[in-house]
Amino acid sequence: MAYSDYSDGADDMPDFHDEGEFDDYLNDDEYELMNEVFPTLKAQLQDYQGWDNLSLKLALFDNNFDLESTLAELKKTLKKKKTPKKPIAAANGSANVTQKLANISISQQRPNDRLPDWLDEEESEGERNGEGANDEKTVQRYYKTTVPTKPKKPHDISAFVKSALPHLSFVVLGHVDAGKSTLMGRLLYDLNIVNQSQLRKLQRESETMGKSSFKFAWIMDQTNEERERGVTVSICTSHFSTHRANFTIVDAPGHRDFVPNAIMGISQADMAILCVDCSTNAFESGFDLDGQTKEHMLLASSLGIHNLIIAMNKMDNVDWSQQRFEEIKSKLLPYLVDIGFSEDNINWVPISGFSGEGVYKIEYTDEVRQWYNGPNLMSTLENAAFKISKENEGINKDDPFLFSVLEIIPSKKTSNDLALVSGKLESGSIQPGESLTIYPSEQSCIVDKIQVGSQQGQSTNHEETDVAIKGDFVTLKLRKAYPEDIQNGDLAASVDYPSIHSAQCFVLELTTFDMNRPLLPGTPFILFIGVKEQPARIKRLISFIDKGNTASKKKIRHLGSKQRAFVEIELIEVKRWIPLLTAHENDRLGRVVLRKDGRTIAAGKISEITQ
Amino acid sequence: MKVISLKKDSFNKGGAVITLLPEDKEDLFTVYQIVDKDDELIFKKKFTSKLDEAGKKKSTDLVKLKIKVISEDFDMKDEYLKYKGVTVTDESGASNVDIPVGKYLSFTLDYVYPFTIIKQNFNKFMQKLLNEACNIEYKSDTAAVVLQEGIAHVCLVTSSSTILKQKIEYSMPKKKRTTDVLKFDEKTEKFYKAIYSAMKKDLNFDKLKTIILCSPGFYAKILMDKIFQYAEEEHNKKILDNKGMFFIAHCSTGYLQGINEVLKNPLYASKLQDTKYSKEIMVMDEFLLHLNKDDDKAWYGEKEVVKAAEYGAISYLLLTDKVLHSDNIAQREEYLKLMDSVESNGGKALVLSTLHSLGEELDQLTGIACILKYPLPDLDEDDGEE
Ligand SMILES: Nc1nc2c(ncn2[C@@H]2O[C@H](COP(=O)(O)OP(=O)(O)O)[C@@H](O)[C@H]2O)c(=O)[nH]1
Ligand SMILES: [Mg+2]
Repeated sequence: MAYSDYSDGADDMPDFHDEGEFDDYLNDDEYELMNEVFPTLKAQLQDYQGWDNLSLKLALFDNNFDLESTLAELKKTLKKKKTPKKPIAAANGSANVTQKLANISISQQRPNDRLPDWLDEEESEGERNGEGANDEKTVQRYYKTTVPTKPKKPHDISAFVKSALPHLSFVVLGHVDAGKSTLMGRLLYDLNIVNQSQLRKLQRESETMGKSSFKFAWIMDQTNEERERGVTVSICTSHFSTHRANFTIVDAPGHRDFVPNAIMGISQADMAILCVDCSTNAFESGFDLDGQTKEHMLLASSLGIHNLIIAMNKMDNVDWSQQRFEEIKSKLLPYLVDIGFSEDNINWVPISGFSGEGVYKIEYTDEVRQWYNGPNLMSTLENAAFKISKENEGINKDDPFLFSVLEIIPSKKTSNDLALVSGKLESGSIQPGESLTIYPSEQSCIVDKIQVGSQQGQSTNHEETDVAIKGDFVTLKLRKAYPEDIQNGDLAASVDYPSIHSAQCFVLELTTFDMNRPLLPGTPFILFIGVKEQPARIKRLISFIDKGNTASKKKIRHLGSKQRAFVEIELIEVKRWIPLLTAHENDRLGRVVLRKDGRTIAAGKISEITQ
Repeated sequence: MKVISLKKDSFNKGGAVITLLPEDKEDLFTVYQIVDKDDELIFKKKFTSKLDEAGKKKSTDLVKLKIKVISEDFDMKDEYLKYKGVTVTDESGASNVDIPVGKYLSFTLDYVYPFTIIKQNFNKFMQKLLNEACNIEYKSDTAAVVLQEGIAHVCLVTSSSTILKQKIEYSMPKKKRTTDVLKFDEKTEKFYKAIYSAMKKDLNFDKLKTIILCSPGFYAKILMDKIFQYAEEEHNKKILDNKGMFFIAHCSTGYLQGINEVLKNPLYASKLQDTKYSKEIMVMDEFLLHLNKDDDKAWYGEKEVVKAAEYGAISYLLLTDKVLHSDNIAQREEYLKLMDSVESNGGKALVLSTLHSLGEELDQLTGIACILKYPLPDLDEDDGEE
């Protein structure tokens, strides 16, 4: 990398962290010289990638501020910028058609016209009124290292895992109005995270809008849009603890229009609660072809969720009828098994989110106890937390650290190189003092502090921790970071982890669901990958997949419903490269879902990253 | 487009001399499809010559020039079409006075001065393009704003292209139980404001017939309310007088694909005008339906389509403008013959513009496809030619 090259070659110079530090290091004459040549050099290197201001300045310094020799040296080491392959207008074949390439604004490009002998023309360069840089793709390079750093206070991971309370994140899914938000509001109320007076306030507010039955739901549904319309739109996460486990809950919207948000919720969760409205006819209407009960379950299965709790909700509406409970179970179970869940991993719990019976604090009545003697919802969750943390106990120091970025927390201090980044550990562990690299910007940072969120009344408390492990939701305080080039959905990994590639084409092992139009080369759709959503299209149909999981020889001209195939995908309308991992590297992160015209049409695993 | 004169070339059979005045960006695209490399252009252009040594005094003349086309540079979004070429002899002596042969020159089209194309090969398809370009009926534009939470695209949908005028992207704060709802609302407000500004900047309300606002959920409805509210606040008559132009539709995504979803939704067909593009969308969808049914009535790929044409079985031939504007003249002639043969057998030929996403889709799909009147199985089998 450019930066390390230069700093290596200049042993007697201190190690500069940023441009500002280096500027300070220069004496006044040098500083002036620098400012004379630097802009020209920078302009000359617009077509190249792999540099930042600091590396250019260091190179100039090395070359005694001589523009020509610096330029010659840099051009040897730097790569030409990758440009999107899609020219805007079809070229008519001749060599000198001005392709509208990203990064190269028109005014910079014109003087490079190779044709000799242009007359002195009246047309000014500004005549073209468009803003040529609109589809700019930034390829800024940062300091990147592959040498790990040691934790400040090293902890033994396996001992830590044994001693800590298990942590579980779960998403609440189900058809619209099944009672998801109400159930979560109820949980938080029973946990004393929301207190009586806050609930009374919500009760008043919801009554004035004529929606008093939504008082619990409003604990989760906070925006005006959501409250006026009585539907959840965006996902909402909360943290809570019982004396047996720590939890992160994600409330997902049930409405079909907000399935993209539900997908984001699913990709953050270790397991799912499916909320089912057991009222007469209600289950049936949510379970038909276009209902979201089925779609949510299909998504959960496709995105690698194995454990389910079925919250059989609104049992108060059917007098806690065992018959109704069994009827719904007998309809739902075959479907769940069909889409890939194992019966052993599904728990069925009768509840009423609104009255609270069977949720946490409010006991089942004796009548219910006569036919249901299983644990209530909270105990079921705690059991699941134990089970999943048992599975994770295998974590050892060798598992690679992988972290998906969910949010960049704006910090008040703007000038320095600190970043606050919250997200989920997808694999391995991390401790303060260790380093990580964030993709696609490929910036290596040092973890300064790790904070875990915990709910305290209406505010989140941030407590520091010495270790975070797979499954934890944490906020990392990073040094040497450039927060302006970190985005939701970016991936971070230990600095010596080699397998994350930023790309826009890759091969999927694809399984199609019910589709009413086939997939063809060129077919556009929306691709969901982790918490990212991205327009994409089929680049190439490679081959069908045989029963024996191998590529079939049969000719593939189009891909219909319920088929399996290897397919190459190309992202479109991309501004920024997207970090990718194969499903082989990480089962959860390597999975994707395809939607088109508002339907989930296929799911896939990334098998190869092409470019 | 104004076609000032069109003379079939008396020396060169198949050639033509056309004098045109383009009037809008659609016309630029028409010219782009007609002019090939090695065609000649006669046009007027302003030149500035520095008269005195100091370069202070300048004079600007309008000079008539004739060049042979070497390359082109076209961008629909920027309404920009430029040809580069080299000066050639003009027998009539009217152009290239004082300019030697062999000079490199460029010509950027404008809507002010007519110019002349001397074409080597003028065909039926180009004639059709010109006819269409002169027909005002084709010329009303539709604007579309497609949005979802935090993402919006402001577009212009013309008969030949979908132009993304501006993409608006705001990363919305993640909702936590503790999120300051006020902050969230503030950001939402900013987002709608930004869309409103983009629409004011990038849309010419006088030239539009319809503005589609489409989104999943209720975002489109909120946007419409906000637009009228903002317009009210600043007494924007252009918008307030055209409230009837706005039209709310549902789609599943705020990305560009949402627009096609609306255009192909039969629910909206009666409210949207029956445009050339919406017709193309319907035909393409029929093509996909046949493929999905596996009824052997839909095929793509040159070999398959040519075979189907030999049987006279094609009811719809679909081509992209790209294959008809390709450098391979022989192949282009093949395709034109194919169009003729389909039409003489009672079928229809549609040329899809690759400036629309649909044409881009067909372009990925070999650029040529057809729907048949009756099933023809196994058109893709090799008949032992190899
Ligand atoms: N009777 C009864 N009504 C409930 C129960 N849970 C939720 N509801 C009602 O169902 C409606 C939808 O609830 P909400 O939580 O917004 O559903 P969501 O769309 O799944 O989030 C509201 O009017 C709730 O009061 C329950 O256990 N029993
Ligand atoms: Mg809800």
